[in-house]
Amino acid sequence: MATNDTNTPAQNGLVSAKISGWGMAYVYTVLFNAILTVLKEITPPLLALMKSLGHHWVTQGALDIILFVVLGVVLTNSGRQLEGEKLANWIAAATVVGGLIIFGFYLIEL
Amino acid sequence: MFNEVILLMHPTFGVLGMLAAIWVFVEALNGSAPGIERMRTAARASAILMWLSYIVAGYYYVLLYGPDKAVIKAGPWPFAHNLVTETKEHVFLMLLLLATYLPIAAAGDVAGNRGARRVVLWSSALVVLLVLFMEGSGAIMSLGAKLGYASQVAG
Repeated sequence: MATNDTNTPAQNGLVSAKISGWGMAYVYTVLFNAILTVLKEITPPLLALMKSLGHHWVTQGALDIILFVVLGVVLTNSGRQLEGEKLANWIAAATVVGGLIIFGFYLIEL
Repeated sequence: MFNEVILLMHPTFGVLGMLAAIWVFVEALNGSAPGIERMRTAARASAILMWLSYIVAGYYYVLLYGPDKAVIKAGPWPFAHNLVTETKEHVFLMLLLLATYLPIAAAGDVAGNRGARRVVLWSSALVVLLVLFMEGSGAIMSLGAKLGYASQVAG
């Protein structure tokens, strides 16, 4: 979407720093989740470390949530506002890519 | 009986969370000011229901799933665990985060800002699609266990 300096942020489709920050936190965390899923399966010491902290899935969930919250706070405080349409595209793309990485990895491992 | 109740609560919370996400989508699509508060309530409900589903699923998966897992892997449909369960458990974490994000996105000016509206539409639609994927995966897991137990009886 083209922006215009004379328009308000809303007219330019910009969303608040909070929506932008937490949205991108989701994007980064989903990709982290997919990469961690693959890494822990192909790296036994990493899986053992995660199991030493509890069930590996619980550990992964806790890491995801911590990363999501930290990134959400940091990116929101950065004050950066994104175009809503671009943010929506990032969210959709991360969801598809993250899901395909996980599904594809386990499909290959069959 | 307790185990079965736990097992049923997981998809029940998930489906209710999905219905709330559909509600969010419809209100955002409508985009009228009176519906915005209803949309925000539904977004909060979706997030809470998804967290309840996650907690119940975690309890079942960590503490109770072991025997079923062994039966599925030894049965005629081992992929029901090796592919479907493994994918489901990790994709569910994505769903949890997206549902958590939904009330944050819904707090924006959905009625007056096309960008904010687009973010809510996509986020709620993806929550719905991910829940449908979860439900389908759960059905395959159940069938894998059923076939596994049946093969044990027959064998």
